[in-house]
Amino acid sequence: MMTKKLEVNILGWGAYIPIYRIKIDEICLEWGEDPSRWRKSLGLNEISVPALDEDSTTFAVEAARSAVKRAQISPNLITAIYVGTESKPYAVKPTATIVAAAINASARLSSADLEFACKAGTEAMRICIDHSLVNKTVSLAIGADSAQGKPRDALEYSAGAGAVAFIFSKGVPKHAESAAMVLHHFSYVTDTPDFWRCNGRKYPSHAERFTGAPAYFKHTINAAKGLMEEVGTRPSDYDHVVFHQPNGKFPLKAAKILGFDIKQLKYGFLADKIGNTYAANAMIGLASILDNANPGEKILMVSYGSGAGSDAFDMMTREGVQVKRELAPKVLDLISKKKYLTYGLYAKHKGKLIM
Amino acid sequence: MAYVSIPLYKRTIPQRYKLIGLKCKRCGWINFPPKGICKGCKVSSEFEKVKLSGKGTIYSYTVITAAAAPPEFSKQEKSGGSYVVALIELDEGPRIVAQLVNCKPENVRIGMRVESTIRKIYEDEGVVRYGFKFKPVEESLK
Repeated sequence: MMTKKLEVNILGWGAYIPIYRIKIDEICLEWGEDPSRWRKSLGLNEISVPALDEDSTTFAVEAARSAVKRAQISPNLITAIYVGTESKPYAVKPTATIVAAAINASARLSSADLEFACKAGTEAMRICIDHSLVNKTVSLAIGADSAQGKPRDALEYSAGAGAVAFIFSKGVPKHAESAAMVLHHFSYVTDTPDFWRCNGRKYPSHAERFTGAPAYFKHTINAAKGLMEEVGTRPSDYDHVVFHQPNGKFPLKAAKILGFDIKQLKYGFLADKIGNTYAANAMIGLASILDNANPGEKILMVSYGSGAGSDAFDMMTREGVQVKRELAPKVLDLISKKKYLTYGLYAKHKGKLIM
Repeated sequence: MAYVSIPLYKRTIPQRYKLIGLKCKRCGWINFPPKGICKGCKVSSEFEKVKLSGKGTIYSYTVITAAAAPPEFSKQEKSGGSYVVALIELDEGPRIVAQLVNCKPENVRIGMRVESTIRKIYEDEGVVRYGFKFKPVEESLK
């Protein structure tokens, strides 16, 4: 059964990736591990690391500013800001209001921070898309994280840092242009304890192998299938597909199970270069697709958040995508600007070594 | 740097996050940070708010090294080592003091083009004090 199209526009998008990286080999050197084994088992080469004076809030602001530049609208038009993150600097005090102040948004605003592990960013997208649909206004959704992994834990080899922002609108404001259109979304969630962080704990825990089949694959595959069934599409209908990338192997396997070709992952697959940016993860892949796609191309995005759930989005690019991509830094340009850290410096940047 | 209370920090958020300055209605001078009396004509107190571009040029700079950092930046210096503090001439005219990021001290030069970015400046009373720092514009590094 085909559901009614949402037809909510993406007016602008913006990404932010800090310039610092640590190589998987450098982490292995610290712990006496075999680098080739870790690189092969995770499918990652290096991960992005925040500067000493950066956090998920500064990432979110930078991404939002780029999205506003591409949207070519007054920030006063924005009536909702939702930020998905699991690494907010405050336990109680919203990131969204800091972003609002920094981009000069109006105070007449619906806003909150959301937490759903790596899915919080796409949940912010769903809320903003629906907000724009119902209220016929402009909204801003952000996924931002500076992810943590316990020293020597498997997560330490994959936890990256970055943010991404999208501006949505039902209809197109005067002097603005649409870059893409969100046509459908579909969510699939179950109670699955595969990854968690308890109150007051610095580092998250995970259930080892349980994070695969019953968690990541079950939810991403059911969300993708559920969306395609509702919309009436097949994998071959999409020009681009992007999955959540907790490592460099899971998204490739999910694509294969669903019947996608590796070529469809070309622009959205970034994990090997920056690691897992958690709430920003699949959305940075979507930003990279918009940096490269031609008008009229179909996109499928499927996020995954532990706990657990997936959001799937059916989208199509529009004429504005080509002009807009030149108005702010592109994802691959942000990835190419990098400075490598030793493990000691990395530990300070991540707050693992407190002076 | 003097102690900045939470109410004072709150009142100065527009200048810290967005580089909002005051343009004198009498002489046109751009005042940043905002002043009570215009720094240009030294007479007028009538202004209009202007958002500065965040782009500028390094007019002069210094490198803060071990034991030279003020208390609120001592943690930063201990963790990250020496850091650059620059006098930046904004394109709109005002000269302001700010830290320089994404650039090693040995690569800084007078005349380098820079642009603003938001960073954690320091934390006090449990409140993160966000504000502007500057980073080199790509072309300046070539």
